[in-house]
Amino acid sequence: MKQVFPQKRDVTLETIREAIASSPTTTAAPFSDAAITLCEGISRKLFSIPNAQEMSEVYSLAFFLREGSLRKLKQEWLSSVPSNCTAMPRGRVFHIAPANVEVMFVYSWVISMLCGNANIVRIPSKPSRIIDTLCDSMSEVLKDFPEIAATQFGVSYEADNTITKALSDISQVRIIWGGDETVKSIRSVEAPAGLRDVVFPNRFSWAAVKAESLLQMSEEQRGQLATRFFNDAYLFDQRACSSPQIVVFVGEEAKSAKAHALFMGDLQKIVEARKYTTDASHAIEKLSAAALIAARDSGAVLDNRSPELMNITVTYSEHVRTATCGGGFFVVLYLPTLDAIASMATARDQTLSHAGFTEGELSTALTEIRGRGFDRIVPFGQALQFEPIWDGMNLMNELTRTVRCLW
Amino acid sequence: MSDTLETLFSTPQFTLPTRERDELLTKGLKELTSQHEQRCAEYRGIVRALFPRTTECARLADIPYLPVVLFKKLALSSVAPSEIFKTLRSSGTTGSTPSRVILDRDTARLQALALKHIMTSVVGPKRLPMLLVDSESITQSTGEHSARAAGVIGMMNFGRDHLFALDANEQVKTDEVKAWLEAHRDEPIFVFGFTAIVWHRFLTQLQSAGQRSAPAILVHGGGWKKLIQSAVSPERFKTRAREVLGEVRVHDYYGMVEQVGSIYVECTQGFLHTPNFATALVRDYRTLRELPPHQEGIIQVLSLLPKSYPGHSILTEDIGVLEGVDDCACGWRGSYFTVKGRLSRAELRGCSDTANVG
Repeated sequence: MKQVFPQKRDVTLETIREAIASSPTTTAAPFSDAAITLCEGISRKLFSIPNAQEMSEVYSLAFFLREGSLRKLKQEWLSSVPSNCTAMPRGRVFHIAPANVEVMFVYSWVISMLCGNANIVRIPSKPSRIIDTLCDSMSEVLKDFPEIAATQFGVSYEADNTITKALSDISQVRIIWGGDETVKSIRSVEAPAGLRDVVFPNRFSWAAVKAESLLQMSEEQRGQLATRFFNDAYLFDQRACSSPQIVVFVGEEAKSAKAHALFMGDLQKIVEARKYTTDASHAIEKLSAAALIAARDSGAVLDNRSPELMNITVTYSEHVRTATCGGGFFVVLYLPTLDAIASMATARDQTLSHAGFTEGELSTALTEIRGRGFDRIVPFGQALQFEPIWDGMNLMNELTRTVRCLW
Repeated sequence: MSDTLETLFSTPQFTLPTRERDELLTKGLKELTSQHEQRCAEYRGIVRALFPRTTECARLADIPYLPVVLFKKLALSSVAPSEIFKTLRSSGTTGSTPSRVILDRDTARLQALALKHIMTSVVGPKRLPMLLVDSESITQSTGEHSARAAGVIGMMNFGRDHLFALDANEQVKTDEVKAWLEAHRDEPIFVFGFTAIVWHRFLTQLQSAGQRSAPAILVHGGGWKKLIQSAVSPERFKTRAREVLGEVRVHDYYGMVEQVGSIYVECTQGFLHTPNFATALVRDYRTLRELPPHQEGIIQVLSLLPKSYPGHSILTEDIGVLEGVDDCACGWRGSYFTVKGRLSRAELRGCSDTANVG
């Protein structure tokens, strides 16, 4: 196994376990100046990477790490702490980061580090240029913060229950990303009774467009809308938990059909302009997904615009959820009103990205859904934007203890 | 049996000019498409959504096709449950869902008949002493037929004086095999088995079969995937077959459980030939449009046999190249192709990842 930050070296489980176990489990109270300054340093480092803007996810991360944005976060969150209570770190947090959304481990680590926790971050062993860049930048800035650096350990190892167990044994919290399989697998490893798990199972996301609003947009506005949707859907090959899989057009059916056609036309232009491509086998996967859906829905209509943008209009049924395959494949529904989505919502549903609705319409829908689904309701373009309130949890609350102090 | 199929069966295999053959095939496949549309609701839904403008199929390439994975996800049937004669299952790799192929008596009979027409063209009309490179025990398993057992049982019809070369532990029965080869040293023999088994359990386990004065015909299929790690090329396979069996004609074949009976046999030039009643097209990876000869793409297989399930036109996940039409140096007519490998699963980015499990 390897340590990947703040030092890069080959290690044995024994040596790294020893180094971690003998270091403090907390660094300071949440949102210490040092922790914020450290983040600002990483932010600058990331902004200075040549072509940072081309790696849009790294750019978003750098933006999130700015001192200004973190001070605002601090203020908002601390003001939510109940009176006569103080937020304190929980202790050492063991993060199991996902392999395919590379930047995720930094967000996970940063929130925990800001909360004053010591951290072990398991970083995917799959080679990745983005991960290398991120680890190098973090390591370099951490040099100026030796006290914090001494409690932070980025490690990488191939799936190995012995290592996972040893690191779980010396942690107070585990954050398990990577979906159902990873969560189940990590949880199957025996762990201390007091260990707290924060888990991120598979999630499913939707997008909704109000047909009438779209029909009133100028061509330019529609282009912007399609671009925002493109960023939401295609950045992680439509495979992130927050990438929309089902697209709902809301309104009278004729208007929905018209808006649908216009929207897909606009999106196709963006897909072409951005030169989006997928693996060779993906055209078959999409065709298979479409076939599987059509086999069970005699009214399904396929719109096969290009190998990179296929969409199939159906009557909603549970099975369309399992048929989706990513890479530019969308299930389209026409609904009379947005709140009709309530009868379809399940606990799996995470993000509903929306365009063209009023606050009132969104809030009616939210009331109708009554918590049966959707943890995030955000405008087009923000589906993938990580926030410390994620999957219905305020991560700062999960990673701190609320200490009650009366006198 | 339809007239088309009758004609294609009764004409000696590998003799029809492609153009003539394709016209008959297109006609027959169109009929099958509309039959399956009437009898299989899932298939009807798929064709309506995916191929809405192909009711007038002018060319083979216009015939709707199903991605092969659907046979793993759905039990597609065009017959009433009472007419189901047996359900074939692919052996499948560990952990993967097997394909399910639903057969009625008629389709099972057509499959056997089709195989007979192909094999008599390859092995000759006379039954030869037959060495089966497999274990007899696999043919005795009860319940659902595995593709492997079905393959062995199907081929047994084309030989006589059978000997199973492997014991129940899949070890070669060296003494028995030698005695059998000795007993048939002066007459042609027919050897059959699955490619990986023939290599690992037979060709590499056996020394020379002794002096034989008559040739052998070795027919093997099932794919090279398991042999890639051992770096066994078709040439090496053939060389070793000669070392063991002496004078031998080796025929690889390509086929799948979703289209049993329609096999594509390798000729003396190393190309897979389409029989009269089935063919293969190659499609572009990305656009899925039909490709001209000599371009690599995804193989689509078409066959007139599947009547009880809508598997007459299937888009495989195998990569291949159409090598030519009617002009193979081996003398066989029809279109011919090669298989280059299997499409690797798309590796897309995303939140859910099993790579990290553990």
